[in-house]
Amino acid sequence: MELAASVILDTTLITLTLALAAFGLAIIYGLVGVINMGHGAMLTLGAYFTWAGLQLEIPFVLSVILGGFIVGLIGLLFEHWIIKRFYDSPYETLLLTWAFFLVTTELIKIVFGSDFRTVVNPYPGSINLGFYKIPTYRTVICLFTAFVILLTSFVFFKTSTGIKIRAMIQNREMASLLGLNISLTYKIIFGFGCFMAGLAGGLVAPMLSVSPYMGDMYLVRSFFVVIVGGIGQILSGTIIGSFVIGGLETIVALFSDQVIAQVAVFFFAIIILRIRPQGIFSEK
Amino acid sequence: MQNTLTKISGETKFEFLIFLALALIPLVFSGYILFILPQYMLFGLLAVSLSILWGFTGIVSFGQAGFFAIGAYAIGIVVKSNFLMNSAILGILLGIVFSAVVAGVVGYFLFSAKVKATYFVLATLALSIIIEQLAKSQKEITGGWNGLFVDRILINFGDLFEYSLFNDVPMYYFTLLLTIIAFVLIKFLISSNFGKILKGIRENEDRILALGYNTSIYKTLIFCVSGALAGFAGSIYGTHAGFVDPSLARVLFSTEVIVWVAIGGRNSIIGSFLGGILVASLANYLNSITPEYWQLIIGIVFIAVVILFKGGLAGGFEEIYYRLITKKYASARN
Amino acid sequence: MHLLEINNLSKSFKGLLANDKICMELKLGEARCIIGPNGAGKTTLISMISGHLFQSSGNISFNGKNIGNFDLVKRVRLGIGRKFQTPTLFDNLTVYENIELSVIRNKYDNLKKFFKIDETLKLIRLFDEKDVLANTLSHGQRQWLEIGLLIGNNVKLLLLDEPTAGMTTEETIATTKLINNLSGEKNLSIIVIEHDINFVRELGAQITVLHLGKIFAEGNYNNIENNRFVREIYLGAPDVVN
Repeated sequence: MELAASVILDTTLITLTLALAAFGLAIIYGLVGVINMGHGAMLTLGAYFTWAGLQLEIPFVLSVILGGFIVGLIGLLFEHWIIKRFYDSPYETLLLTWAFFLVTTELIKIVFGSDFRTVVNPYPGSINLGFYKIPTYRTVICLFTAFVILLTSFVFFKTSTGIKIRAMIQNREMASLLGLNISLTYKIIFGFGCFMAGLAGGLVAPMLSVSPYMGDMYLVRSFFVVIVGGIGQILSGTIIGSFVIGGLETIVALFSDQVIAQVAVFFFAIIILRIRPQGIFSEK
Repeated sequence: MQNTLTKISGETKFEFLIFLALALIPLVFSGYILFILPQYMLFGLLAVSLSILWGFTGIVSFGQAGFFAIGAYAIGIVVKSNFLMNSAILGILLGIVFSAVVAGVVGYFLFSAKVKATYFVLATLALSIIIEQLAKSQKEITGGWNGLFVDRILINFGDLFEYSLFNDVPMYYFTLLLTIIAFVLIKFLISSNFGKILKGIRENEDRILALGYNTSIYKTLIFCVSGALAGFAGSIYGTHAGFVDPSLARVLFSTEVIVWVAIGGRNSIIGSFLGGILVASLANYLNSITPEYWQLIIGIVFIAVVILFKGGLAGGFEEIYYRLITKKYASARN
Repeated sequence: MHLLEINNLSKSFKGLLANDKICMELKLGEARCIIGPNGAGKTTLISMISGHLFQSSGNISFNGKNIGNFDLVKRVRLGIGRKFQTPTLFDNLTVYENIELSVIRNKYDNLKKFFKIDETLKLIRLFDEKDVLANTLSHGQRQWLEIGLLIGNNVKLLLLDEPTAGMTTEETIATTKLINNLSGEKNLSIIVIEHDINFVRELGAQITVLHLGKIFAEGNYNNIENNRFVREIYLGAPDVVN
């Protein structure tokens, strides 16, 4: 019983952390159809901005939010200057966002250097449940992720803007007849996705070492979260995808090593790509 | 018809001049350039392996470095384990066969299910990471992080003929010869009916399907050829560089291949080939004068090329050439 | 023996019957027009023959073979070719390259290939435009080029969905000649869906009238024109006859 409870808690933590990292990607991919290869770099940027904020003695929470906003702003400018013109050609956006990754990583190396930085855990310690101790900080992050996803669902399903956005995914022309400014909406969604990536980067920073390549490991896994969960299934899909990818990786790692676990997950994701390209549980 | 004929022969002439220049270089230069240029030629072939996919079929792969690494490891492992047979030739052959088989299996698995082009990119990305991780973790076979040392090979056919590639000049000509053979074969393939059908797939896959072609077979085959070519280049690279390590399979290297081809011109075989040679040399040069900024510069050039011209530099030159021609043509008519 | 035999072919979409027990036969070299008001099930019928849709019940046989469960590619290889309302071409390739792509599936030797391409280009009256990119052709020429893609592909049964939609009068007349030429001299069987009643008359082929998914009447132009019920449901409706 206690073992089961601790496994459930552990899985929940892994799932929600991965969901947080993948959320920005899922939004941009699901709503505006851009495969944002720069997602990893945006996570990294968010982490560095948080680190920089802390150096300036700005409180952690504020640093994370500021970091998210700056990354969102960078995303907006990137969209405005470049991506905007290529929404209809998926390959071009893929290459351009990848170029964004290359350039950003180099800039990070130039500005911050290549050595590892640490962001001190603002909530050290753990919550003791008797049979199991959960780290406080991870719990906070997971509650936050759940909150963000619920809030987004609310906007998405209960507000008129959300309904218009859903109409836009179905039919762009129809949505513009409904009075939705398509190009502005795309811009806001893209910016919001980048903001979420930056925020996620800042939030995971205390759990990892901050380095120019820290976002890379999340990039491909985030994609597979989105694919396994189903493109466009932004909310439920992200959770399900994170659960499957994170859970699988943890379980395989129990029996072998981390590398094999990662390889196994990638194999699994490729198989999902083939047999259920619409996502593991979503209907066609 | 007249136009296409002159255009083809123009391109062939240019290709001939490039390879002639490459053949003459050892007579003029010596030293480091003779060591490094064969590697760049192999990078050129790696670029060609992507160009036949991306430029000629419309499929982007983020996994070319993975195939290159398979080739390099194949020769490394074969040479190390010293088989009875001629291990050099066996290593190269195995490099080609392995990468072709991996490409064929992955390609057929995904193409036959009509997986979207952008998803295919992600799958190749994953493939590349899988190969890199396997190279790192299977220490007994691959040497893990430390990699493998590979001797320069000896080409011999029984007692009849023996050719040592230990020195740079023989290695240079050996690589050049193989590069030319591969290049000509690829040109031949691209201009064949098979190549025309690939172009049709690039232009309008649904149409090609409606004409009764089984497009997934064609896409699998070209992915196979592309993998084989990358593996071939990788196997020669392995013996040339004398060292193989997991970084050959890393995604960043695959990306560099994309950058070479984007800059060189994805629709041109010779453009991609030169893209590989020139961008790799440029990277090497920039790395020596400004180690901090070179990747940044190349990244910015990459963005500029993607935004400005789809055809890369080859496409840009072609456009300028045609503008000049049409101007001449127009003024002659007036 | 008939080239195409359709037997009790039905198709329902979520309970809605789009085609109801259609029976139809087509001889080698025969042209047939299918007319009927919007929603009569014309395009559904053609899609089931071409393999773009699968029937709910009934069967289709082609050249004596039951092809009901053959996929698109298999049917194309047997010689069933379909032209859509809006042509899908290789826009960035020349007219010649377009036709070449359809001809090379036959694996001819070079000489035969060139003859076939030449012949096709002349048939569809695009020989002079052969080095022009497909996306620079006029609307009517694009329609012909798509027909050319099917001819180059050695089609035996041509399915044409509103081939003259949007064409000028001259282009429509040329298309009529082309279709008659294909069925008469080239011995192709052709099914045409058309709205333009003038075109149907000019073509002079047998007519099948579909209404609410069923075959409503069959015969030549005069029979159909004089059929009071057909006039009521179709010919009389001024908004359909354009």
